[in-house]
Amino acid sequence: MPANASPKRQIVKDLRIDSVDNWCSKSRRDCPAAEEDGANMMQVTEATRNGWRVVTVTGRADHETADALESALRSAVEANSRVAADFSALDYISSVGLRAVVQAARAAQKRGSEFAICGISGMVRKVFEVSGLHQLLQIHGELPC
Amino acid sequence: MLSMLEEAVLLAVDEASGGLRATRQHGAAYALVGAVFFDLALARRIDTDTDNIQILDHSPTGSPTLDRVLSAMAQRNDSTSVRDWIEAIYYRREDLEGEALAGLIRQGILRHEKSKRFWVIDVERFPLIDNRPQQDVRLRLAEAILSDTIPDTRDIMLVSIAEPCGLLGYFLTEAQMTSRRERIMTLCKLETISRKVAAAINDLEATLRQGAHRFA
Repeated sequence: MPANASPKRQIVKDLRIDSVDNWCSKSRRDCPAAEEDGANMMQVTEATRNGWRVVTVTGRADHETADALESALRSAVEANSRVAADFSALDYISSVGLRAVVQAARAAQKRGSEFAICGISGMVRKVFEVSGLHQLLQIHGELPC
Repeated sequence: MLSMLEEAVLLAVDEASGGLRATRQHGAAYALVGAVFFDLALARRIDTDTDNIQILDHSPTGSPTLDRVLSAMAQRNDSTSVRDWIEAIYYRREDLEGEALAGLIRQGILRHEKSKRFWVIDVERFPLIDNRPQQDVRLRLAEAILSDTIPDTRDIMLVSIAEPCGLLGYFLTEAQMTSRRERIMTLCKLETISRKVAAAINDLEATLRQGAHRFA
């Protein structure tokens, strides 16, 4: 990447990714501090693939990170007609995290955008299954793109 | 904005007579405890996963009801289960309904009337002064149930409180309730607090049935 390029935006053509945005979230803390104790950290990476805006979420979606998660998903939904939330690297989701996802899906539906949740596994899968969210949201095993 | 507890109790007020309605007394008592937990969750004082509750912040919310429950929770750190906390608050026999009614009266939505039936029995009524908040709650819940759109999380919570209180039948027809049964059950299952409230009600009703069989 050129020295003067923005670290938040890079083009990775060999992966067939058009654009990538990265940030991490920890309540009331900047990214470097969050990296020091990664216990509650959530990372969000965005990429565009075959017309889908893929929002990859890593770490924990809980009370510390739910607002940032909702904000990231809503921003993606507002700017794109097809958004996939890749939760394959999401380790934990609490009720407040789940509400953030539902609110983002609701925003997508209001805009007429497609919103798919992909790659859930482990504890996160259990939460989605127990709550019956598949009856309300589009949930895919793999990314649709 | 009304609290979840106030909205649930407001739904129970008969707009014609001012009387309070709830078709499932035990269910209503548990559901109102659920409403308090939802209010605490919305105030970001607690969070839950599939089984456990976590107190995030002990600082006062400004609501005496919520702060009393929060304080009770903060004093006991031996229990983290959502179900245990629902039972614990239920058995404290807090007058959650009375406190919600007092709040609605303070906000100019209801007024309190006392009278005597047969010169002996005290009768309390809560006629609506302003019927718009009740209409708004009914419209939101009807929309959440009758449409196939993703509801606001607050409306999901309220459907899951109104259902075990037996309040949905006061603004939905029997045919609507029947045709949208699956949707209602979907919304009632989404939140951990709702699922645990439903489990507590089922267990209590099973215990009552067993007791009735023994005495029969």
